[in-house]
Amino acid sequence: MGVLSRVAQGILALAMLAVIWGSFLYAKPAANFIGESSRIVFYHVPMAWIASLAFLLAAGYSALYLKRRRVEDDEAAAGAARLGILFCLLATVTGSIFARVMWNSYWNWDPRETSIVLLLLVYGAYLGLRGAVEDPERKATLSAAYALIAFVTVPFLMFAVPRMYASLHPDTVINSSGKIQMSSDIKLVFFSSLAVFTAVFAWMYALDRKVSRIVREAALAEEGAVAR
Amino acid sequence: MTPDAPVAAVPSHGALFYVAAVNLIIWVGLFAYLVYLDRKVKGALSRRTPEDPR
Repeated sequence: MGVLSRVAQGILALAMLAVIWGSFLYAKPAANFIGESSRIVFYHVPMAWIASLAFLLAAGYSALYLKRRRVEDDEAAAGAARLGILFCLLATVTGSIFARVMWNSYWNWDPRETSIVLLLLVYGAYLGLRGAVEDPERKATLSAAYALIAFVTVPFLMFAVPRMYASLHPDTVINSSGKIQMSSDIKLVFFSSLAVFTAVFAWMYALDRKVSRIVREAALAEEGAVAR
Repeated sequence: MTPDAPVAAVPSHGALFYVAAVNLIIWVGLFAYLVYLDRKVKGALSRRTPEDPR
């Protein structure tokens, strides 16, 4: 690992510690939330944002795979989808804890809760598809086509459905009048959290891609050894 | 569909426990993914035959 990489990781770790400190001790609890529950937003929203970003990356690399037929693009799409599911799952669980504090129930089948479960099912099926097809080229082609179609549901399930029905969910970050209604301390911690968690995602994604390359090279070496 | 009215249930100091729980769950989730990647690499490397010196 290079010195630059180590320094970057150190900075990331310090920034994350600062965000955690800020989320507990710097930002004041927001109005219209019960007690300290608004602090959950510093963690829940970045999870949902990164899930959307990861699904967008999965769709982008899937389109690239269908165009260029490079195995690296397929690996990049699969890695992004896996991480997207992880962050989507974390958004669901953290949202559920928020629901427990605010509405005394972990699960209410609120439009947002329902739509995120549907999203998890859609991308769970993507992993199922990858696991079900043996032939690598066929697997890559089918999953790339599926990931493109699956991404169509993301804006619909994450942004449209929750706005179409009455929901317990608080206003989105940018409210219906196009404004961000946050005090300056909350805004600072919130956007720092978004940036730092996005950097953590970028680091994990780079790691995932490196691992995929190692696995592919190991498989090729194994094939070569068998052929000899 | 109109959801039921929100019900306050947790005292304000108790909510801080939930914030800590959220933090913990996120870090456990992210760490679990790193463990998954680590096992994937170890699994791939262990499949290599002895003829392969890498």
